Amino acid sequence: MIKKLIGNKIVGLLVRVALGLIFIYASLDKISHPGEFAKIVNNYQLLPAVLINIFALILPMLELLCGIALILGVLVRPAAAWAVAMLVMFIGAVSLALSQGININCGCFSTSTHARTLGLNLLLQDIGMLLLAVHAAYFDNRYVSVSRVFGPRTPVPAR
Amino acid sequence: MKKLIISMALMVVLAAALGLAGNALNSEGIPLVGNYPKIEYGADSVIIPPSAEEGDPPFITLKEAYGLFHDPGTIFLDARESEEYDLGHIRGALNLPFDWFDDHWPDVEPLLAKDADLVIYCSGAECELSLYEGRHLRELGYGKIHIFFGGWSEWQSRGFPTTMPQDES
Repeated sequence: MIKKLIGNKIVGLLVRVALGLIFIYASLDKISHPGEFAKIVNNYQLLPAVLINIFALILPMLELLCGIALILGVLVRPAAAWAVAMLVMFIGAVSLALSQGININCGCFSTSTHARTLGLNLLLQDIGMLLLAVHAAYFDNRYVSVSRVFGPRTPVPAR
Repeated sequence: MKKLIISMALMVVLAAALGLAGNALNSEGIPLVGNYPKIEYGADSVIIPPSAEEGDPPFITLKEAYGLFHDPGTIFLDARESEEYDLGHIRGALNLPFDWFDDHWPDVEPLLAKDADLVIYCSGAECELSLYEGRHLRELGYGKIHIFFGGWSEWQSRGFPTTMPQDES
């Protein structure tokens, strides 16, 4: 029963689209405020100084692309795999910062200095999203997708 | 699997191209290599004010202050005005504004053991209240005084534990 539900194509569609929306939402503020986001990346004290700005420019764009791909149903598996990779990285970074007692703005959804700081609830939220991403990567759902509308529905038999 | 890796690589290349192009067009764009002063966990350059004199209480580095922070016997004293303290301070610090010392002293004195490690700070390098307060407390007979002259600005810049107004509301 549960197995059936998890594998259901509508559930798969909802997971995919929800994850896509979250990633797009998370990317927008960072893309519009690259300088602020770079400072937050620097605060985590995990990357060498030369890589911080490049990382701060590429990561939000990758989030945005993954979000769009998941919603459109194009390149679902690679996008979901990137989502898994990014979430594992976020969980690692937040855990490290928490274990060192570093109390910084997480830079998750907003670059504002009044945004939330790191905490355990943030880790739980990331882990929840990681489950969604693993689901999306595993089932590679294409129900209602651009690739389905435009792509070949069934392989054309060779003659 | 190979196809997956190729697709993932293409996505990151596309993200890099869009990210860098977008940055070039953005009026708030940032340089590709930013200027980040090396922030090390163990910053060990001590900041000493020009007005320091022979015999002043010892000045400590951020690293030493952070070490003392984890020692439960240490008390941090914030020498700034209460308004500044309320806008954010080192977590657990007591407010003892040097300019209003006598007003606050009756509240703070019972909390300080004469042989406790006291770390005194104010806003940072442009502020000498911590030095004056350290001298004054030494005259009052406190033995283990440390002046953390990097102060609030250095502490906060590393993201070390703080109490901010929104934490208390």
